[in-house]
Amino acid sequence: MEPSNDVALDIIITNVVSVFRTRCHLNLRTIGLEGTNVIYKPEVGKVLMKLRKPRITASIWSSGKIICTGATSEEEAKLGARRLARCLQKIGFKVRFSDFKVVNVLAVCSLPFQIRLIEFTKNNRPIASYEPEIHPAASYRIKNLRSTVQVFSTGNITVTGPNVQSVASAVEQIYPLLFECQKTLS
Amino acid sequence: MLSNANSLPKLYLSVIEDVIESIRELFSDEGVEERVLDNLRQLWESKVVQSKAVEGFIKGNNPSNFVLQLPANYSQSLHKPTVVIPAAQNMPSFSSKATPHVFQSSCGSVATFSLPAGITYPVQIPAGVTLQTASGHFYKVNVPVMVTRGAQHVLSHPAAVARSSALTQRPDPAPAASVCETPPTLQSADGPSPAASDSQTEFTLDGIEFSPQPVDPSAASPFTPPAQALRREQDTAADDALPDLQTTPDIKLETDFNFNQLLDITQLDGVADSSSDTEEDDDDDDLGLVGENEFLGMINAAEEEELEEEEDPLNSGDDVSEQDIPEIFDTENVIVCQYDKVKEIHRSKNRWKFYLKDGVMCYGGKDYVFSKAVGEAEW
Repeated sequence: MEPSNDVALDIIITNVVSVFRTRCHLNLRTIGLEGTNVIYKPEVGKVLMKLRKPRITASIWSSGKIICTGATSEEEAKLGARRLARCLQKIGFKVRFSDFKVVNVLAVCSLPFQIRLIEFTKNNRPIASYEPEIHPAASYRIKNLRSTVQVFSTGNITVTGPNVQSVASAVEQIYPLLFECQKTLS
Repeated sequence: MLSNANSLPKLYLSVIEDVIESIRELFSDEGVEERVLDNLRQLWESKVVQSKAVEGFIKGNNPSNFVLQLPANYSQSLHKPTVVIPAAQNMPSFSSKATPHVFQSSCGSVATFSLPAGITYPVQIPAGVTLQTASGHFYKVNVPVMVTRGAQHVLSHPAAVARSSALTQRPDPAPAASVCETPPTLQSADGPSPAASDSQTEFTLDGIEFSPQPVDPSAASPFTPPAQALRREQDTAADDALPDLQTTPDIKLETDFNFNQLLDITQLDGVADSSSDTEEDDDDDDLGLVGENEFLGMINAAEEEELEEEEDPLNSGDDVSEQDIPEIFDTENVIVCQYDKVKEIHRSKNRWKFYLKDGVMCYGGKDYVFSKAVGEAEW
């Protein structure tokens, strides 16, 4: 039975992780004291700065490397990162917004059917792996997209990949395979 | 709702007192007049009252400092509204407040009452009243007097009062910031004053300003009253005023000298600062990194172009402005305190718990002081 391609799947991006560099040394103590909405973690050697407008949390290291998490789209991630850099600039550091890169995108999708995981794993032997004692989901790695899909028997899947495009492609790729192994009372 | 409403005015008053007292010496060393200190205190107190941050804050609230003993016949006159308090504060008239406290002694010679707690200081006392301060000194008022705490009130009958026996300062030196500008002059100049002070010591009701006498303008140095107040408490004769007058020019000269000394100090910071700026260091870093980039650029020119393109927009700064941050901070409610612990209740939820100590909170325009506070909030 041909899998229908007319189903509109709701892929919801829950997290976009990005990095960028300020190209200058950052005094974490100064940021911790003068910055707004900051959490100074001297034991780890970083400062967390949370932004409200794009809801993001950034980990700031003294080397000037910053990891930005919590955005819901790539554009939002970039905007948030720039706002953050602007904050640091306002504190007084000679910040340059350079090397911005989205490194990870996490999306979830709810399929309208349940899945027989053992059958799915058997059909896709080297690519899919399933160890129910360790984790209740089967994981499916798509090498060329550098993405990973975790499949739950309820039909919910989570997709992680280097960018939104690869995540979307991964869902498209895995859908027919999952459709085959759905838990229908047939 | 909060029980500190009663103690807060006292706390604030004591803070003001402490600060004023501790800087008094500094001010005098710098050559600043006492009047400035008084003005500062007045300003401060009036601002606190204006802000309505504290309930029941009465300027100059010192209930126990002044015990007035009145002659027997005065109690009758008390019922008449002979004494009026200027309506600066919402205080009922002096007489109505004072009446409950008046009790006739058996001998009937004097009636004693203390100024009620809420009384503000501009108090007008009619003539013929004998006053006794907490220290036990007797003062007789021959003409209508206005008792003030501040230095701003000019008496209604300055000339008349000048001739009265109002002279020494209050025994309580602490709030003696209000200046009696020409007490020494009065002591020396007043011929009629001995008549008034026949059996009693001369006194000054605190804060009375008299019209300057031409006798000795140099004696109006701000440093004389505190020094002389204690001395003159014991002195009754006008003769004792003379040594006071003699010392005042000396004091004045000393202060002038000190001020000149201050001018000689050269400034070593600011423009003359020789320490290196942080900007210089950053520039060095930038140069180094730019060099690095150039090197990389030789390998991959395209990458370098990308970098430069991205850097420029941020530097302009227009794109990336956050206007919501000032909005969020546009609040009147502030807590200034020290913290014991501030922690997150679970990382994903934005819930926080605050363990605070030793602070002041201004909420809804009112001030609340605390030694410990626990709070929970969402970010």
